[in-house]
Amino acid sequence: MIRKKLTGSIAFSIVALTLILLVNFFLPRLMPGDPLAFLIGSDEGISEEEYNEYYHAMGLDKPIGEQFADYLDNLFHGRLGYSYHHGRDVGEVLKEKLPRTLLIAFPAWIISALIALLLGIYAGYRRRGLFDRLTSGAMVVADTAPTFLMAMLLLIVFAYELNWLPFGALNSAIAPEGALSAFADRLRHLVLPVLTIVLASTPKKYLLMRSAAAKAADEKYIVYARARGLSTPAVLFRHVFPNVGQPFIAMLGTGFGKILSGSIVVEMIFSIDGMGTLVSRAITDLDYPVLQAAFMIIALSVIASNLIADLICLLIGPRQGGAESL
Amino acid sequence: MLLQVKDLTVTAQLARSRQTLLEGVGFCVRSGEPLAIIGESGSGKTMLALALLGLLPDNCEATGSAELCKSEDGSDIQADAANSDLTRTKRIELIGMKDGKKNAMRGREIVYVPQSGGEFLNPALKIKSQMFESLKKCGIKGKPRLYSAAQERLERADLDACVLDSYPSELSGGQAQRVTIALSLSPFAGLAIADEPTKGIDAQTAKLFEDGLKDFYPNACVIVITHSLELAAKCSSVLVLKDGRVMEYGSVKKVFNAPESEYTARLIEDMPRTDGEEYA
Amino acid sequence: MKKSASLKLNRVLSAVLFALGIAVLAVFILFAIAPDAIAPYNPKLSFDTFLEPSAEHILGTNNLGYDILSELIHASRTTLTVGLLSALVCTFIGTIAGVVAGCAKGLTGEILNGFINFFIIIPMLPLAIVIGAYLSGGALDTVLTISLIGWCGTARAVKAKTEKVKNSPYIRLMRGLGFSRMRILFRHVLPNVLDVAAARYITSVASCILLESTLGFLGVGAAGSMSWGVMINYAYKFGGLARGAYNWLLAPGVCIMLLELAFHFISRFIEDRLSAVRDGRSKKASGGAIGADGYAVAGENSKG
Repeated sequence: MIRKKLTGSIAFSIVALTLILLVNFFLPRLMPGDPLAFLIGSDEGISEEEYNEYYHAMGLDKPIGEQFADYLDNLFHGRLGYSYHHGRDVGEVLKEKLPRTLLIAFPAWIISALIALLLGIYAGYRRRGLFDRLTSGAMVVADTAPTFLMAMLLLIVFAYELNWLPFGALNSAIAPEGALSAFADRLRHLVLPVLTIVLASTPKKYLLMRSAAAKAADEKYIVYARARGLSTPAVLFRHVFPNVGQPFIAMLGTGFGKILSGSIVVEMIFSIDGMGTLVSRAITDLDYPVLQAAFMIIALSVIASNLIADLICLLIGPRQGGAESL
Repeated sequence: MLLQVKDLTVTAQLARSRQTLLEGVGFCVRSGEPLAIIGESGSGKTMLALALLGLLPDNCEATGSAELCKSEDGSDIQADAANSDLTRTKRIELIGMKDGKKNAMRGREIVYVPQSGGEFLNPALKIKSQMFESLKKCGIKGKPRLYSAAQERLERADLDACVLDSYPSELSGGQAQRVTIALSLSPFAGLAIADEPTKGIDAQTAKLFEDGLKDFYPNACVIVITHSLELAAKCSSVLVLKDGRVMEYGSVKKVFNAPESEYTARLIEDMPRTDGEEYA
Repeated sequence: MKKSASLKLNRVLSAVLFALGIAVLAVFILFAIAPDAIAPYNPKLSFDTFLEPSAEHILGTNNLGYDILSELIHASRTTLTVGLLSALVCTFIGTIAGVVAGCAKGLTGEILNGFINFFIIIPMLPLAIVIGAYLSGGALDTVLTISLIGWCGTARAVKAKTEKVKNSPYIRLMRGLGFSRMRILFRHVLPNVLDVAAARYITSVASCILLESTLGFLGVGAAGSMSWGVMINYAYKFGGLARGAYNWLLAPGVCIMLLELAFHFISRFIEDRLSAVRDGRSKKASGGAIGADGYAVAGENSKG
C-alpha cells in the first residue's frame, strides 16, 4: 500500500515536472506572435541587425529537436533564458532576487502554518463555542479580502498614517551602524510584508485545521478521553493532534506555493526588489523569459514541496486508520 | 455514598424541533446497592449516562438534579435528608456543573465503562499510553509505579500485562472491553456508570463483570445499563425506561417477580439469558 | 435554555446575513446592468483632479478628474461579467472533468486524477500571469485565462461526489438490472452531481472575481475595459498613495470584499439549508448534532 502511494507520488512529480518543462519550451514557440519576442522580451526599438543576431543566438533557426536539446542543456547548467530588458541571463537575475523573496516567504510560511494549527485545533475541538465563532468569523472576513487590499491597508495605516513602520524595501536608505541595529532595521522592514502574507494565507489553512480537528473531535475515543477526565490540553495533544498531523503536513506542502504567489503582490506594494517585483515589472514590460522562468521556479518548488510533504505523510502514518485528509 | 436523581429531563435541539429524550427521571442509588437500568434501544438509557457524566452532545440540555452525597463520618445517609444534616454530608450537584470541575471528577470520582469498549480506544495509541493517562489522573506518578498499578488493574480485569504493548486493533472484543473496565478502576470512584458492559462479548468477560460488580467499585454508587438478565439480577434495584420516562422502579426482587406493568413483564421476558455471541 | 437560545440565534443570524448578501449582490448587479442610470456622472467627464470625497463627488475624483463613484459603478459590469462568465465555464469544464475522472477506472482514472491534481497544486496566480501575458488582453481574454485554470476545484469536488454516487447501492442496483452505462450516467449520476456543481458555481464566482481583480491590479490583460482591479492598478500607479487618495485606492477593494462576503453568506445559507434537508430525510437517531458545520473549506486560492 505504501509502496503504491510512494510510486504514485513520485511518478506524479516526474510527470508534472516534464509537463512544466515541455510547456515552458513550447509556449513561446507555438503562441501566435513573434517567437523571438517571446524568447527575449519584446521591444520595439530593436534594429533589424540586432534582431537577426538574437534570432541566431536563440537558436530559432535550428530544427526543433536541436532547440529542445539546447534548452535542456541550458536548464541543466542553470541558464534560464535571456532577457533583453535586463541584458543578461534570466537565471542570474533570479539568483539575485530570489533570496529577498525567500526572506519574506519562509517566515510567513511557518508563522501562518503554526497560527492556523494552534487556533484551528482549538476551534475545531470546541466547535460552536465562543472562541470558534469569533475566530472563524474573523478568518472568513479576512479570507474575502484581496491580498493587495490588505497590503495597502496595512501600508497606509502603519506606514503612512502612524509612521510606526517603514514604507517598504528591506533596509533603510541610510544604513544604521552596527550589526545589531542593522538586524533590527531589517526586522522592522520585514514586519509589514510578512504580516500581510500571514493574514492572507492563514484563513484557508485555519479552516482546514479546524475541520480536521472537528472531524477528530467526533471520534469516539475523544468522547472517551473526556469521560476519563483528561484535561483539554492533554486531549488536544495526545488524541486530536495526531489526527491533524497528516493534513497539516500536506497543508505545509501546498501552502508554500500559495505564499510564493502571494508575495508577487506584496513585494510590489512594499517595494521589495525580489521575485515578485521582478514578475510584476515583467508583466508591464512583456518580458516573457522572466515570466516563464519565474513561473517555472515557482512550479518546480511547488511540486518539490508537495512531493516532500507526501513522503513525510507516508512516513508518519498509515496507522491513522483511514483518516483521509484533504 | 448516595446518588439522588430528581426530575432529570434531557432535551435535544434538532434542526427544526426540540425533542425530549428523557423526562422527569428520578431514582436513588446507594453504594453497595447497584442499580440496573433496562429498556429498549432508544429509551434514553445512554442519554441518562451521558447527562450524569456531563458528556451530552452539543445540542442537548439537561435539567433537574442529580446529587452525589457523601457523608463525612461514613454513616448512613438518608435519602432526602433534611438540610440540618448538611454538616455531616457533602453534596455535589452533577447537573449543570461547570465542565472544568466535572472533568476533574471524571476518571477519578466518576468513572464510565462504555459499551463496545474497543471502539472507544484510540487506534493510534498503545494500551499502555491510554492506561497511563488514566492512572496519572488518579495521582500515580513515576514509571515503576505506573507499571505496577497498570498491572494490578489489568489483573483485576483478568488481563495479562502484555496487553500494555498492544494496539486496540490487536485485541479481541472481549479483551478490549476488559481494558475499558480496567481503565475505570479508580480507587476514588464515587459514581460508576457501566453502559452495557457485557454486550456482544464472550461469556467469560460477562461473568467477570457480574461477579466483580460489587468489588470493582467498593465505595461507589454503581449504575449498570444492561440488556442481560443475569447482570440485572445481580443488582439491588432496577429502573425500567420507556421512551425517556420511568416505567417502573423498585427492588430487583419485586420488579422481576411482580412487575406492575405489562410492558415491564414483556421486556423482562424478552431479555436474553446470555449476552451476545461467543467471541474467541 | 441557554443552548437552545444560542442555536436559534444562529439560525436567525444566518438568515439575516443571507438576506444582506442577496441585497449587496442585487445592488452590484444593478450597477452592472444599468450603470448609466445609476451613476451620478459620466465616468469620462473631467472635473478637478484628486478631489476629496464630498457631496458632489461621494468618492472623490481621480488623477484625470473622473468621478470615482461613477467609474466604480461602470467598472462593476466588467468585474461581474468576467466573474460570472468565467465561473460558468470553470463549472462546466470542471463538472465534465470531474464526472469523467470519477467514472474512469484503472490507469485512465489515475492519469485523469493526476491531471486534475496537477492543476490544483500549481498556484493560480503565476500561471494566470504567464497565460495572460501571451494573450492580448481585454475582458474576454481574462475569462479565458481564468477558465483555463480555475476548473480544477470544481473537478475535484464533482469527482468526489461522482465516486460516492457511483458506489451507492442505488446505482449498483441499476447496473444489476442491466441498464446501459450511458443511461445510468445521464439519468442517474449526473442529476445527483449537479447539486455539488451548483454549489461550486457560487464559490467559483467568488474566487474568479478575486482572481480577476488581482490580475487587473497587476496589470495583466488590462488593455480593454475598466474593472475594479484595474481601477486599483491605476490608483496605485498614478499617485494614489503619494497623494493620500485613499478613497481611490480602497473603494474598489472594499467593494470586492463586500461582494465576496455576500457570496460567502449566500453559499453558507444554501449549504445549511441543503444539509438540514438531508439530515431530516435520513432521520438520524436522537442526540445527533445539527447538520453542516457551516465553514466550507474551499480548495483553491485565487488571491495569489
